[in-house]
Amino acid sequence: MTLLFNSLQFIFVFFPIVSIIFWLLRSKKQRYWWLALAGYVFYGLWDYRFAPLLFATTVFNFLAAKLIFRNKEIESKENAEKNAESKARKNKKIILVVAIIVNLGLLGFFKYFNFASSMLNQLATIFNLSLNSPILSLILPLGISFYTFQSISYILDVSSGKIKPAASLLEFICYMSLFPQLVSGPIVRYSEISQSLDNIDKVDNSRFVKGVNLFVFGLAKKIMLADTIAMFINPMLSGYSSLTTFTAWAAVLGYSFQLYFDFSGYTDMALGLACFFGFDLPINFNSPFKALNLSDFWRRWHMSLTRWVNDYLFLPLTTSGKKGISKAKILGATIITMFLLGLWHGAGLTFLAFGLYHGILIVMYHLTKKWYDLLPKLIRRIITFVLIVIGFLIFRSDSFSMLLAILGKMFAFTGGLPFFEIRIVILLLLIAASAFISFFLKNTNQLNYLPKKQYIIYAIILALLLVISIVALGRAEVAFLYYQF
Amino acid sequence: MNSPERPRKQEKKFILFFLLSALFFLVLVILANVIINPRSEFSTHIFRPLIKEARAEKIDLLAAFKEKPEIIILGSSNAMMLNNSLIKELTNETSFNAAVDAARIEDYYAMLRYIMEDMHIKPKKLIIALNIEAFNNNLEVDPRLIAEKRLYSKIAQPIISPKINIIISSLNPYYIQDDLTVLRYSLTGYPANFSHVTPDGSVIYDKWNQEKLLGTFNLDAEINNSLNSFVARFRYMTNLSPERKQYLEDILSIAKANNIAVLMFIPMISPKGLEFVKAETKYEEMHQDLLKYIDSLKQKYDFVFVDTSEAGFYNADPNGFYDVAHVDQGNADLIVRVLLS
Repeated sequence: MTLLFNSLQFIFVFFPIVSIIFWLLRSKKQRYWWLALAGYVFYGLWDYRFAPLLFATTVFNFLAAKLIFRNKEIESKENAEKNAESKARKNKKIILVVAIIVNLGLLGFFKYFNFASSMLNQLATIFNLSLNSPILSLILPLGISFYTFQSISYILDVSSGKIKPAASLLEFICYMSLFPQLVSGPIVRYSEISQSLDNIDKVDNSRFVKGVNLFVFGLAKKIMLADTIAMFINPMLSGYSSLTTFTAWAAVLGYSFQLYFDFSGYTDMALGLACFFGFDLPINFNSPFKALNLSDFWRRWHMSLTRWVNDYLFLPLTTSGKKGISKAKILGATIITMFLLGLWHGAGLTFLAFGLYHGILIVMYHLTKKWYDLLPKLIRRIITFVLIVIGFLIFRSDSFSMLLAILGKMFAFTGGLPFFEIRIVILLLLIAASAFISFFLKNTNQLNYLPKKQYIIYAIILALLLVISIVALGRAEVAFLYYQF
Repeated sequence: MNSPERPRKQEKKFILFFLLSALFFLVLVILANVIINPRSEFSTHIFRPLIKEARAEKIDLLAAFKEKPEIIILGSSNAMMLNNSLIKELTNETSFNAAVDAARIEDYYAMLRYIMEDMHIKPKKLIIALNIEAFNNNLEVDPRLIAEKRLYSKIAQPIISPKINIIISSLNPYYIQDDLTVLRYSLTGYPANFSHVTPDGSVIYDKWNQEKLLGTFNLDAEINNSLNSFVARFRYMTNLSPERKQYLEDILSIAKANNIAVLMFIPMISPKGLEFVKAETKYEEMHQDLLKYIDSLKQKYDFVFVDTSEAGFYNADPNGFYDVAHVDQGNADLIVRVLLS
């Protein structure tokens, strides 16, 4: 059983109990314990066997960061004594490398072992070799991609001196197992939350209004838009061979909006839930479909992941080496970063292709920037949106044959306009509503959560939206798409 | 009123109104579902439901039956076509069809106990239609059984009232759609009955029979229409429910203790439906598990068992269906002959 944010058990049982008890507890320690317990119950309900893995990862990273910090302190003292190549520095480096290898190793083992193994086997077959690399029966621990990246950022930030390690193991456990963002992000760096964690005993209820707004909007996005669109497009994409040009575009556009409202709905809910415990998590979406180019898109889409890869992958790649920063280096780093970003999303060739596709297009944008940026805004927005939609098709496709077949349908211009089909008409209306919201309305974080006038009426409308979403939830509880990563 | 206290006051009011309004709307939806009761899942009877409540109807019909039946048929809606006249012809015994819609094994058990304990009828034979999905380990007790107090009191009661579950599961758009349909029908009149039950508990499908007479009956369309809901009954089934197996053994124990002969069969499924459900669900695995389980029961109990699920096996008419799982009279008679031969 996965305790989804969009489940009645979560909305009516888990969340009220956790928040009421949280507010009854007063001391820092009690609140850490309670949130950590809630996080582990939330996680354990999915698969209790992986809770020890989360705990072990947490303890390991806490200790590694402490050791790195201690060696760093010794190193600073020694530096003061002009002893640059000290033992402490070496120790710090070794611990840092080991910690990163352990974190990436775990992620690699659970997420990529079978993929790599099957790729090796396929490669061997091409060369008439029999490799028989094993395929293990592995379950991908929920949220491992997210908490591994949080752990790595913590270790690297401590190592570079940006942050001090967590004061106590309990505080760190609380950070790593914070249930609003545990399984699907946003990827919260310790530096972004440490102050709130430190003041957990002093928080007041001033964020409740924001929390309610974000949770209700997130739930409505997920249930009323993403899941409703999914009901129409899933059968179309499963039977993609019978799509026409028109229905192929409708299905792919529908999927783009489904993915956006699913993931941004989840993030809104996560941010909203965190508000009830005094945390301001970083925003993860900033109207990505308003982007003017693909670089801009990635600054607006899954922003916490983009920031992560930018800071810990792209920048080190561009600044490494003795020759300094060059254009070629930046473009190369872009391709590598986007390729790995694609791989982060899943162990599959289509995910690699998704990353590569974005990498190449971002590079192309930078090469043609001078002329491209002269185009009218509307044109740039349309071009970018079409490119995003094609990218999402790569993301959604189970195989290259599916991808090519749907792309073929999209650009073959066959099959006429099936307007008479009621399901297509409803899908088009949903796409139109989604497009209006995505292109013309404010981002959720820009909304006025408490209008000065008629705020009571606003509260009633918001409550109605919540109840409509809860009723619509009764169709079926659908897991968030990003849970699989 | 420009003090910093103002927004704080507004925030508190906002939260209070939000919570109270949400509670109000939620209660409103629940009350509408309970009062209108479109699916016969609650005990309220202000409006005529969309779904016929066979459980109460069968009990009332049996109470009014001309004699005490010697054969009782237990099963789901796909056993309602079993022909009491043919049974009489083959056995010279009177039978009553106590099969009810969407029945699970606890329905059979509750019905049998009610008939024997409260109506003081002791049959000579029991004919039991063993639907595989009636053993579904991931299917709750049917709300209509819970709503029928006379029967529900005969089965094990859970600690937490299942009515809470029924209320929660009624929170969905389709239920509200049913509420609105009931309100519309009560204003404009209900459509003609789809089917009716005869005094001996058998069903007559008026609409389908009419269509057959007119030559407008489209079996393929009916099968396609019922395919998804039929497959859904198996979708989350991973095992034969131990509790439901126990109910079957309790039925067999009651029969053994009262010298009641038991004849059991797995009902027939249309070939297309069977092919689809095998491809989409764990049907075949569950089917084999049920056969093994029935086999194991033979050591302890005496009963007749036939598996009629494959229409081809008994040369049944592949077109002798009303939809995926409901046989027509020809195939129903074939089942009775196989069972009683």
